[in-house]
Amino acid sequence: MLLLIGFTACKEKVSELEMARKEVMEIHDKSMAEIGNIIKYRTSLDTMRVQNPDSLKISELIVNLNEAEEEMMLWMANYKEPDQSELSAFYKDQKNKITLVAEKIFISINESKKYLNE
Amino acid sequence: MNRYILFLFILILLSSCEDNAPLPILGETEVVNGLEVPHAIRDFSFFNQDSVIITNENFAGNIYVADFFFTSCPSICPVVTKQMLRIYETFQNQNVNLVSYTMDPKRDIPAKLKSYAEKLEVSAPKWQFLTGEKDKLHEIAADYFSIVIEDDEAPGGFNHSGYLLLVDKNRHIRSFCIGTDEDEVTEFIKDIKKLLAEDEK
Repeated sequence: MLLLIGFTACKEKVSELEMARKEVMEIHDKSMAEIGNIIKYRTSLDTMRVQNPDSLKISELIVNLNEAEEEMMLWMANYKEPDQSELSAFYKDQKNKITLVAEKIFISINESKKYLNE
Repeated sequence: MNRYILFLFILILLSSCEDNAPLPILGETEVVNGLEVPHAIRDFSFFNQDSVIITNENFAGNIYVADFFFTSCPSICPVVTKQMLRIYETFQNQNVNLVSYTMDPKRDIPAKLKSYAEKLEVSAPKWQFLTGEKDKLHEIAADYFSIVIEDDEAPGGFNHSGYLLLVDKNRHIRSFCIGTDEDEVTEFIKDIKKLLAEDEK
């Protein structure tokens, strides 16, 4: 009986961790899927910059797109799952980190999109 | 009853037609010197995991499967790589190559690609992991995915979608699938076999 309770508790813990990982990966996948848009808008802005080499706004938008992409690459490169005992805190921390990266990606894309559609 | 048999007969006829039909050439036609030609993968030149320069010429006469990845990607790429490995194993002794382009050349340098390949226990020339200039990698990705993305409103996540693309010996894309979907990959493997059979004719 005790074994069964222990087993169920352990299973719940695993499933909690799985859920936490899933949450992190969903934020990652959703924002990562926008990298293609970063490339698309950067290409358009690069073309525009040729006509307007002094435009600070265009330069700023390109820098923001580049930084957002780079931050995602860095997040992936630094993502190393620790031992089981530290996983819960790790996923919590990663969720905060990836949320910030995702925000940066969506904001940089929206600002570029807005500027290009003006 | 007769109607049922007729329906069945037509169904068999249709499915047999489909099986025998060659794979289509995907992508929009381009006009070159006034002539309409089917889409073909542009020239490229990148470094592989052994720091050797690889161009289209390395695949001349062979068909290959291409995908785009990041060695550090924690979610979709490992799933896709597992399916690429399945293709690698299925066609180990046949003229089918695999090409994985990194989308993070800053970190995925040849040495990193080499250890990635070694972990998978695969090697060049059968499976080439390619890296190079970021802009050039983006350009080649856009060229492959031009067959998938048809309009501006399409999702921009092509390089994180896990697509696998089948390229024939004349650089034409003949089939593609979503590499995270095992069933789709099973169908894709059938397409590879079909293309191999086409070449043998």
